[in-house]
Amino acid sequence: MRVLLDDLRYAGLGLLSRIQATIATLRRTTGVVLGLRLLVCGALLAAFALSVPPALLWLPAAPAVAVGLALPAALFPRTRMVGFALVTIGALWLATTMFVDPYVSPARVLGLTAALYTAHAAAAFAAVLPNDTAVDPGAVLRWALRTSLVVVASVGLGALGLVAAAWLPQAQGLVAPLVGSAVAAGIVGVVVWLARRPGRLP
Amino acid sequence: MTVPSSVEPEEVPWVPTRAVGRAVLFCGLAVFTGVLLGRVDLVVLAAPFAIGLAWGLRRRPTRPPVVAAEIADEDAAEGATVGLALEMSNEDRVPLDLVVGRLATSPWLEVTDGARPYAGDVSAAEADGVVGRRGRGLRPVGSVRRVELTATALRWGYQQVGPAVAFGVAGDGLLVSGTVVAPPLTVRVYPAVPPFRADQAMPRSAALVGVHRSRRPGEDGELSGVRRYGPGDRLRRIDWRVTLRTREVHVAAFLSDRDAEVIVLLDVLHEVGTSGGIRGEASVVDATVRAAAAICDHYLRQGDRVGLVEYSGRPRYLRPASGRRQLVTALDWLLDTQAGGGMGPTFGLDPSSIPNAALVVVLTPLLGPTSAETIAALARAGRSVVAVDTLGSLGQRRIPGSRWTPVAQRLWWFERENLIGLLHEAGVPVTPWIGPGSLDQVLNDMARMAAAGRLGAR
Repeated sequence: MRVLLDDLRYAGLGLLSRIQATIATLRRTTGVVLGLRLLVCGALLAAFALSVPPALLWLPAAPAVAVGLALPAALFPRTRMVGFALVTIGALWLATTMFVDPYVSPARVLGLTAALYTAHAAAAFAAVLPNDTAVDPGAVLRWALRTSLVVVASVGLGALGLVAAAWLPQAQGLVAPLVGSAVAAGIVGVVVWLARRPGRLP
Repeated sequence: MTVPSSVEPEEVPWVPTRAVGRAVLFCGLAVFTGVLLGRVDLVVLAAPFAIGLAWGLRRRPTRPPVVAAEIADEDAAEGATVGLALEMSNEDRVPLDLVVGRLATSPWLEVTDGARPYAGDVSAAEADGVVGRRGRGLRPVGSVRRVELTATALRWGYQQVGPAVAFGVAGDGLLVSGTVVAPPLTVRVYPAVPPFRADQAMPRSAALVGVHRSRRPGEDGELSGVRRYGPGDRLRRIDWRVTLRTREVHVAAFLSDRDAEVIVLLDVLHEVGTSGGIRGEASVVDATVRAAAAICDHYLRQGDRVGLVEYSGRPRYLRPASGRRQLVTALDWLLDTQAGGGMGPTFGLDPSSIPNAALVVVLTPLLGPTSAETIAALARAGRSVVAVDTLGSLGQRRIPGSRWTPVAQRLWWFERENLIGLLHEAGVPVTPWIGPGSLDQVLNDMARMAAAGRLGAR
C-alpha cells in the first residue's frame, strides 16, 4: 500500500511538472504567433457563420460545431485540422445552399471566400512558427499585404464571375461547367508543373 | 568568432508544406463539385486558393539559408555579459518570406529576453551575391538578418553557444527548407574570484626572493630586532642610538624576504548540492574551484609559485610556476574540473611528488575516508598541509526522507566531526572557506609550530 501511495505521489509530481512545463511554454508564446492563431480561429468562425443561413446559427449545436472546427485548427495549425475545417465548412455551404436556403447572396459567397482563404493563409504562416518565436513585425506586415492582395484579387475576380453568371441566366447551366473544367484543368496543370519542375541552381 | 553552416543545396531540399496539399485538395474539390453541379459560387470559393498557390510557387528557391552563431569574446568571467549574435542569410536569388533561426546556448548562459527562435524575412542575394534590396518604408532589409543577443555567464566552465539552427520559408508558407546547422562555439567562463587575502607568514619558504618575511635572518627585509655586534656584521648596520645608550656596539637585525610554493589540491571526488550558478547556491565543486581561483590569484600576484592538483577519478597536475602567465594557465586548468562521481582516483597521490617546502592547501568537503587518508599521508610525509572545508552549510541542510533520515544524518555528521578531529591530531588544521582571512589563523599557527619544531631539533 505504501509503495502504491509512493508511486501515485511520484506520478502526481510528474503530471504536475508536465502541466507546469506546458504553462511555461504557453506563457512564452509571442504576440505575433498568438495573433496569427487568433486570426485562424476568427476567420474560421466567420466562415462558419457565413456558410450557414442565419436561422441555423441560433441552433444550440451551432456554436459548439463552430468552436469545434475553429479552435483545433487554431491550436494545431500544422495538423490536418485546418484542412478538415475548410472542407467541412465548404460542405456545410454546399449542403445548406442545396437543401435549406438555395438563395446564394454574392456578399456571402465573397465573404466566405475571403474568410476561408485568410484562415488557410494564416494557418500556413502560423504552422512554420514555433510558439515562442520573436517575429520581425515587418515580415508579418509584408505577409499580410501579400495575403490581402490575393484576397482582393480573388474577390474581384469572383465578383466579376458572379456578375457574368447572373447576366447570362440561360447559359448558367452550361457556362459554369465549361469555365470550371477549364479552371480545374489549368490549376492542376500549373500545380503539377510547379511541383515537378527541376530545381535551378543559380 | 563565427562559423557559418556549410551544406550543399542537394542535402537540404525545399519541400512543400501541408498547406500545399490542403490548398490543392480544397481547390480541386470545390472546382470539381462546382463543375459537376454547375455552381459558380464553388469555383469562386476555390479561386483564392488557386491564385495563392500559383503566386506562391511561381518562384522556388533552391538554396537553403545560411546560419551562423557568433560570439563577441571567447573569454568571460562569471556574472559578466557575453555578446552573441545569430546571423541568417540568403544566398538564393529568390527572396525568403521567413528565415526561422534559433541559437541554443548552455543553460549557464542566460540569454536576455529568453532563448527563443527568431524569424524575419530575408531578401534575395543579387547577382554578385553581396547586396540585397531595401524594403519600402518599413525597415532596411538586406540578404543578411542579424539578431544581436546578450547573455549573462552564470557559471564557470566551458559554456557552449550553439549549435545555431535555421530553416527557410518561401511561397507564403507553402515551401520550407530543411534545417541547416552551424557548429557550436565555446565561451570560456572563468570562475569569479572571491576576495581573498592571507597576510600571515608562510610556514616554510623557499629561495631568497619574494615577499614573505621568513623566520630566518637576512638582508633588507623586515626589522626583527637589535642585537650585539658580532664578527661579520656590516658596519652600516650599527644602531648608533642603542650603541651610545648601552656603551656597547649593537647592530640592527633583519629577516629575509622569501617566496613560497603553494600547491592547491582540489578534492572533487564527490559533488554535493546543485549548482545555482553565480546567483544561486554553490555546490562543492563550485566552492572548490572558486576558492582555488582566489588562492591562485592571491599568491601568484605576490610572486609565489603555485601548482594545482585535481584529486578525482581523473587526476590532473599543473606544475608550480609563478607569474601572470601561470595565473591564466591555472584559471584555464580549473575550467576542466569535474566531479569524480564518487569514484576513487586511478592512482594515489604520491607525497614525494610535492616539494618539501610547499604549503599544500587541500580544498576538500571531507566526505570520505579516501580524502582524509590522502591528507594524513601528506602530513605524515612532512608537508605543511591545510585542509579547507568546502562543504559549508550544505552539510547541515535537512534531507527529506523517513523519520530515520535525521538520525542517520546526525550520525554521519558525528563521523565527519570525528574525522576532522583525527586530522587535527595528525597536525592538519581544518578551516572552513570564508573568503578573506580563511587561512590566516592556521598559517600563523603552522608558522609558529614550524619554528618550534626547528628549535626542538636543535
